[in-house]
Amino acid sequence: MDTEPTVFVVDDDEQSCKSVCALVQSMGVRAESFCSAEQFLRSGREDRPGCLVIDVRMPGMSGLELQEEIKKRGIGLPVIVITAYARTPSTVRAIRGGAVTLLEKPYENNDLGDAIRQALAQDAAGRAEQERRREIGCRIARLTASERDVLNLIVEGLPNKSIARRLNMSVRTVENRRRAVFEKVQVRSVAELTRTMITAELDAPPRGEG
Amino acid sequence: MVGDKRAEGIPEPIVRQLAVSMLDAFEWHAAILDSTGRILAVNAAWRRFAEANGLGASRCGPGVNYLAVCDSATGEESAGSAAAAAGIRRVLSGAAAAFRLEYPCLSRDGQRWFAMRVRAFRHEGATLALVGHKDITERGRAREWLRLQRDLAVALGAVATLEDALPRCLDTALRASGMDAGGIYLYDQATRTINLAWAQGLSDAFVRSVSVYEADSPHVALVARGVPFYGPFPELGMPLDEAKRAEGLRALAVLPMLYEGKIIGCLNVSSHTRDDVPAAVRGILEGIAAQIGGAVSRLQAEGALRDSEARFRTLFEHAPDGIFLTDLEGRLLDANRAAERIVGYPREELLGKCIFKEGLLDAAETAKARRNVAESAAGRPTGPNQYTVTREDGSQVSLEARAFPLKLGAQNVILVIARDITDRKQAEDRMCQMQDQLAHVSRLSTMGEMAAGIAHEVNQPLYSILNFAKACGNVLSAENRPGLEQLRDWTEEIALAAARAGQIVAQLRRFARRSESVRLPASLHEIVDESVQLVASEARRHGADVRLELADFPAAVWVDRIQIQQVMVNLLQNAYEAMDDDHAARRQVTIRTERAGDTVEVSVADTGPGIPTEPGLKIFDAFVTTKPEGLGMGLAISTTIVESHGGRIWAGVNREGGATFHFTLPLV
Repeated sequence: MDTEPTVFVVDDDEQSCKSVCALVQSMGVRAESFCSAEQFLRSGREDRPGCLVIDVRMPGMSGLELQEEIKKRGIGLPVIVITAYARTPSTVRAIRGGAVTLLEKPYENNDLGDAIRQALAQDAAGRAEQERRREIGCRIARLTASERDVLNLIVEGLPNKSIARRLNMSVRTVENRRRAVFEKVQVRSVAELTRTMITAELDAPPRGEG
Repeated sequence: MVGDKRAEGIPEPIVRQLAVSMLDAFEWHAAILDSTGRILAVNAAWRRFAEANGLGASRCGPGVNYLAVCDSATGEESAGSAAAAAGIRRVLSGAAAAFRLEYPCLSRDGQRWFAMRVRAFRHEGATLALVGHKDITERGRAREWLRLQRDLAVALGAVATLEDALPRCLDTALRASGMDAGGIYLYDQATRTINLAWAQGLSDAFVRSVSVYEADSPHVALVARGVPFYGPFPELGMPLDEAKRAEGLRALAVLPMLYEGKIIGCLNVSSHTRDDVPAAVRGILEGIAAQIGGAVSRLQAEGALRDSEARFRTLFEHAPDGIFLTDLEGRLLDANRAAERIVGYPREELLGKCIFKEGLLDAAETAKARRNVAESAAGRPTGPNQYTVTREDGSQVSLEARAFPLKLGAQNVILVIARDITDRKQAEDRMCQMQDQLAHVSRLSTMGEMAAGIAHEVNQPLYSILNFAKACGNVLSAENRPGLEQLRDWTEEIALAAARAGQIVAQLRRFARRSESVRLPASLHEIVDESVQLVASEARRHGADVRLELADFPAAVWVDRIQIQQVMVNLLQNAYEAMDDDHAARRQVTIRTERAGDTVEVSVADTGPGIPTEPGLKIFDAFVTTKPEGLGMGLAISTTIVESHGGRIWAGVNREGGATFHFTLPLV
């Protein structure tokens, strides 16, 4: 998979499209242009790292419709929405849709370059976080079922004696299992374990959409 | 000759008897007077005449002194009698051998004429006179009638008006007929009545009562039959009112006057004293009536001609249009008052002068006028042609002139009718200015509606410029300057985008500019393209898909480019706005051009809800709109623009829904 971040520019106005691509390239970032929302959706780029720069008004599927479609498909790409009319309803719709930035063209104070940089950083951070969670998930997956039970009670903050009593096992057995958990999850303290587990919890797919 | 010899052989009594017999056989009234004028003997004719006239032998028979009878005559007869007596005396005195006289004499049946011949002869030393006397009334009348007729004809030939002619005619008729009253009636073709035109010897009351005979009266019927009426007045058959009774007319003659079969009127003569119209004068009266008829007819015709000439002159003078009559070279023969007023020169200064040489027209128009006059001189009408005439006071007047070749008598002339269209032209100019102003205001209003779209349209290239510029800046500020080779491309892109922005601004400024309407040859397809670009942002804003289906022929038109753009922009905006409703599943505007005869037809079809069918809603009228924020001027102004270009604009509903607006323009 291509992991180099790319800015996907979706604009039906050829000149605008070109100019955004030029700006992106001048920042040393790869750019790809699409003349319609449909063309982008067909391109299979949605899993690639980077961000989207979308023009609101386009014939066919509009920029906002594309944004909604991306969200619906669970694509994590940050979206920068460019509009000539920052009218309230469309602004609200764009922000609710999770757009990183809403730029009115021609932008004055807000720099499209900054917005792109920010979006790429966000994407990169998101992807790094996602990677960490994936890794933690792998470590947790290595635990046995009884080690998992002990881990859950440790995270709840129970001392070894209570865990032994709860799981109807000897304190010694609990201590052994505890050691194995710390080793496999690669933590040194209960606090670290708890933080890792919280990250892992967040990583779990939303309920109902498993 | 041989008389003496025979007389010697014939006994005296036989000679005397023979002489008496011969005198008696003689048709002349004969008498022998002695030297004192005493009647010695009369013949049978004398005796018969004396008896017929109530003169017995005691008054006019032998023994009566004829000279004394003549000398005692009075009144109308005295002149003739005196002449007769004088002549007889001269013969009896030996001063003359013979004497002849003709004289009129009034008798019971009118005026009579007599001839008298007197001859002297000697008997036993004394001078006697043989007086012959004969009634020559027929001959006298004929002669008198000839004289009257001649006098009347001379008089009628000299008079110019009916008013002069009628008294003379009536007077002659009365004198010739021995009647004492009468009137001349004239027929009025319009009312079919006969009206008294002149009367003589009648009381005012009577004249008033007989001044008009109605169309259905017996009198008019009688005149229409053309047969004279002679008889007592009451027999005419008209109701006798008090005035008619009081007048006491007795004998009456009604003589219809006809001329070439047309009823002219009638001559009525009558008498307060006589009971009948003597047969002898009837022919004379009929002759006079015929003569009056001819004269009246001529005078009426002349009067009608004069009236007609006067009428036409009045029409000519008062015609609101200027009328010029010129010869084939353009020299002015006549001009009416309106013509004087139009050109501002008095007629006297214009007459006889060539209409091309008066400085009325400038050089180009003089040439045009010369061509048109030549054309009309060749027998063809010309015009309407417009001219600008400079008046004497320097002011200018616009004319629309038509010229017609005419033949007036033997002369070929040209009739030029010129209408002052200065006011009309000024009104037209004002109207054009107002339309231009209105169109301009409407364009500004359209631009106001388009403001958001225009902003977008200008922002688009500005956005690009900004991006390219920042890209350039990024490259230049980076340490290793990656992509330096792209700078040239990007700066070119900046220039292109700036040019694009400039174009949009220029186009908008042209559209908004208030300018005199200028018509030039143009391609309609270019105008359609420009218009679509002008409202491209609107199409985007309304999410409309614009499709062009332009016919494959050079749609060359002669138009005011901006105004036709305005029509297109208006129709396109209406189309886009019509599709704003959410139920419009497909938002498509199709612009089509096609040739239609010698015009090109442009249609703009949308997929909106169509045209509202409310009764009485006239979408092409001003201030009629279905849009909440619309002024309702767009279609009204589009109509004005299209019609002023000689085209037509209309709307229809599509089969698959939506409206189509069409307009045509004449092809060059």
